[in-house]
Amino acid sequence: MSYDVALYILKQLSVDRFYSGNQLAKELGVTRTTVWKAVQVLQLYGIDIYSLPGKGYRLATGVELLDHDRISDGLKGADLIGSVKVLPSINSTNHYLQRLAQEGEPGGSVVFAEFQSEGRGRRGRHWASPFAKNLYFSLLWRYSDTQCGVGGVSLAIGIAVVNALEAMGISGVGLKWPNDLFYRGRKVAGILLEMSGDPSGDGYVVIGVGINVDMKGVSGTEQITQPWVDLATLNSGCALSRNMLAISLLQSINSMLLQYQISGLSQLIQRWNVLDVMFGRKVVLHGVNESRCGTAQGIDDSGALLLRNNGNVFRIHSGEVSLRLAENSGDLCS
Amino acid sequence: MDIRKIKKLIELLEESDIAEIEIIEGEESLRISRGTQTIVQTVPTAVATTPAPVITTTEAEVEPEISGYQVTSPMVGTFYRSSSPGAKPFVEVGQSVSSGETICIIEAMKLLNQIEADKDGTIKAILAENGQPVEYGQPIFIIE
Repeated sequence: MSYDVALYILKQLSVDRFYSGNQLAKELGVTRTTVWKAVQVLQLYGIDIYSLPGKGYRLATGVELLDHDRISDGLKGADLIGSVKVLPSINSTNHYLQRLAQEGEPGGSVVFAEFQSEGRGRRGRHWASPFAKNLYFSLLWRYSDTQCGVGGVSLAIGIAVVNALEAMGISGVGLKWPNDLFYRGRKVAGILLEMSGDPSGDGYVVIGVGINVDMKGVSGTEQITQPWVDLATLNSGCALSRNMLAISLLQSINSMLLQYQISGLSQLIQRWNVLDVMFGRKVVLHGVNESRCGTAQGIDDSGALLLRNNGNVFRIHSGEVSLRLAENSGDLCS
Repeated sequence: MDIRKIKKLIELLEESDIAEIEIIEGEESLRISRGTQTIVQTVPTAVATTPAPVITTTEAEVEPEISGYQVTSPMVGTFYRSSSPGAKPFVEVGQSVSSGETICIIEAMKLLNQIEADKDGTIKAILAENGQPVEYGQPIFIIE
């Protein structure tokens, strides 16, 4: 089953009226069975399609597919953004772009996918990636001779995503170190950066972003292991345009990278500390083999988390931060 | 403090006979000592100046004398031998590797750095533990 057939059908279908299977078969030059199979594939991807004998197919809810031309047009003037690809389905946009990067893909390339079969977060964690519901994309950033080191870009991208959401009218989203986007304790978006090269010389970073845009009607959400929320919920139940959001995000990331290349995090610490959902709170830092408690004190100019414990301030470079739960913190804290 | 400046300082130290160097620049201070190969960067606070890199390992201090080509960590972060928990390690001792092959991941601030072998050869030793923090310049592999 080719994606082209399924995608064509999806583009033709609407919520307003039924589209007959015969008509689709004729337009595509395929049999009705092929159309029927393609519809089943779409349903497997989580697209809600009604079918009525004698009338045809109709969408239960609107689907806005990512539009390559529209996104590219919206990115004119974004100097660091190069070619844009929109894929119907891929294992992981980060994985795909990393492979291209190894083969010499120029910096600025962006890959969107409507669906990820192996969407992932830190340390191989699964990232739910239903078809045409959210945004999953990766951007290739090639850097050379960074004055400020490359590590802080992880936090800078988090700020850029919050800025883009605010520009789209979504407020109240904060950051949990180093770059998870949270709304009142529920995760909205995640960012994963994978690099190759010298952290203080030349190299490239694949910046992967996953945002829960509209998870309404998505099956399997009970398997998500942490509290989450989507942008539609934060927007009074109204889904945002995925294409508009894609443009807004890339414009914002473009500006952020331009700034980062010049001054690193130095001009961004204040902004970060304002967005920091953990600031001044008691937290537990989970390392692989041990945990540490303290009060989160914001970040330093390398992006390290400052953790105060018994009058000492520690700089934390990696690990997972969570709010301390008073009742079970005893054993965890060293 | 700029990581490149620190790198320069380490190189400077390596070329000299100095055992330890401490530099105070504005509010930041940095001490690099040759004996333990640990970098201690302190943060000024009202209360104390304590070694900053948290969960610092002692691996570096008991580092065995192993000859061969050393792969060192290009950054401060956490050392991972596989792409995800439960996955097969990228390399084992005794395995042959070719230049450009990923041999570990070092993570800092959710930026995952895939460290590649920069030489063909055989992994003679793995000098860091999975999930442990590593310092800038710390030897992590020996390739022969």
